[in-house]
Amino acid sequence: MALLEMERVEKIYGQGEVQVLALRGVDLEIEEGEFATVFGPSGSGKTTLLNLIGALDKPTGGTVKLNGCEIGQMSKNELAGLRRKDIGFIFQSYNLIPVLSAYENVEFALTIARKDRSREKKTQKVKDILRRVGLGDMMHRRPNQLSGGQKQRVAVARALVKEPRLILADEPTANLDSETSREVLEIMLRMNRELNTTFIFSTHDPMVMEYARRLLEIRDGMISRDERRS
Amino acid sequence: MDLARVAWRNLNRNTVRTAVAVLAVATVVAIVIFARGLMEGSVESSFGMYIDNNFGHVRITHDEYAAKEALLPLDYTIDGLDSAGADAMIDELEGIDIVQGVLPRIRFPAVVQAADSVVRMVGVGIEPTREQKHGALSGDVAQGRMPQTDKEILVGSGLLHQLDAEPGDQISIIFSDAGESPQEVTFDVVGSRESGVSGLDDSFFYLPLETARGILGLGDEATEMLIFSSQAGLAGDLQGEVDALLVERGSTDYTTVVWNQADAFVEFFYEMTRIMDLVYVMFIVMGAVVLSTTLTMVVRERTSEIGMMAALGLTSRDIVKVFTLEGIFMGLIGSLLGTAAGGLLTYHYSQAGLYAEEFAMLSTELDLLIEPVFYFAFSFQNLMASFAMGVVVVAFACLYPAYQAAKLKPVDALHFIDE
Repeated sequence: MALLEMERVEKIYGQGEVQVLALRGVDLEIEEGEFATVFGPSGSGKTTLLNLIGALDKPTGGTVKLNGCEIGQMSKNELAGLRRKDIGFIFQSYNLIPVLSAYENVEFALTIARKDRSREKKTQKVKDILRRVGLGDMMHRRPNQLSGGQKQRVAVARALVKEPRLILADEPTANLDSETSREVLEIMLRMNRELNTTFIFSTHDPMVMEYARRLLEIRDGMISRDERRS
Repeated sequence: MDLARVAWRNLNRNTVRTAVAVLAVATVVAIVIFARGLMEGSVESSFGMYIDNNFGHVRITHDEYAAKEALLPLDYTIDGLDSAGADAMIDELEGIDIVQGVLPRIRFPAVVQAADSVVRMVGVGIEPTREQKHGALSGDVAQGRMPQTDKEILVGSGLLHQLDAEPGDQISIIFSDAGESPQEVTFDVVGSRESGVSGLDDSFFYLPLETARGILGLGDEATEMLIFSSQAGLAGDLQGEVDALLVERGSTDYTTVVWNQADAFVEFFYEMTRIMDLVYVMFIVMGAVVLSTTLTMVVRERTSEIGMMAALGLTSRDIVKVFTLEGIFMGLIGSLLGTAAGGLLTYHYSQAGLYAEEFAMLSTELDLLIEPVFYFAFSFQNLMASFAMGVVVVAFACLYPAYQAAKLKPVDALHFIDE
């Protein structure tokens, strides 16, 4: 069974005469361990697609199954539970909590995930993941004491720490210079290989596409190209 | 890192805004403590004057006496249950569980012929031993002592001044006895009373009850009985018990009145204290509105963060918890500061008192039994109640903005970043 199955998915925004068809019958399957990129022009439906995959929104038509669960049938709390356990998010503007240190931001995500762990194991897990993203010596700094690249590494660590099956990254390199972007992408690729975590990116950045092993081009609310790379 | 710690850390995000919200709550709580201290102090000291001098917690008089009280008639006295005598009635009253003490008194009008004028006054027959336990009289003796035997009197300090006399002197007092025959008796002044209330100090003298009965031609009688319970708040229950005894014994000529309904001014003032309870709540609500507004701004500013938290898997309930806790922390700090400030102020004025000059003139003009110096009531109950009220009301005020945050759709909240 695929990790993600989308069948004839439609998403319409607005009501009455003012309606926008953001997705028009999207069919898509994503297997566990993929490193895929969704790209396309602004307004093509990338963000809408990611919102549906991330259980942040429900489709107007069709079905979205994540890990076998159909999100259209799930309650608000069930969706929150799904996001908590199985999905990690990385945002363009990092969205770290400014009053918490890098360590605490990551620990917070682990606490929310409510996966049974002793305090010691939790601490070990957080430190380990921060070391893996290269922030072993900066874990007690607050976001305002970190560079853009370092913040995004914290965001990556935060997404990875709860060991989700899927990580969604919305324009993760948009605010980074090319060297930092490469560093961050390398980390994500390494995590994908080491932990078999599935990554789906939404991006305009050619560098992200360069790293991706599957390219999904979206135009006018439909997937117009689906290319796999070895 | 739990939600409470996140909420606590959030207080540091905008320290000026947090300080303003905390200060608003602190000010309101301090005002409430101050106002409650003043009102309770007024009740204790001012109403205490009425309770100790005029009404007890419940007062018994003859029906007709109550109607003609201004004339201080000696025709309508209490002569006991089944006319068995006032002293026996006191014993029966003191047999009621809730009754702590009974003060029998006889009031009568009198005059003294001074050098160039006639000084009017009121004589009060008292039982000195009982007055040591209840009422304010024995505590107000400024010079000398309480009257004990036959022709001894205690005189108000202002009255002594008018008579140009002092303890140790003798005064001849003119009055009418129960048969309306004029009498003149010379008394030894053994002490002066200084209550601080001109209505008492300028007009009253006190003599032993037995002496009063003798010179007025009364038997085992009293014009009124002041009955005391352990606290003023039990006056209603006390009245019920006393009324039950009077009905049981068929003493339908006697009437009882509770201290806070015995005098129009006291009744009005007592009602005011109850209205003030509503004012306190309104004050606290005002502080809560400031905090609620602050949190509404916070929610607006942190919309994208709320979206992020929802994306991480926080439920609506968790989000309500984060914002409510943040508000409660501000409420707790504000209430603590307000309690400390209000407590210190109230304690200061409970010791030093607050002198109200205008009120002193007014109380003299209106013949009110109220001290012009207000001693605030300092009680931990007041501090705890105001603190708790601050925290609880603030917690409720936080619910609306917290709910606003929780009802945001994650996708919309996250979108907020892009717009």
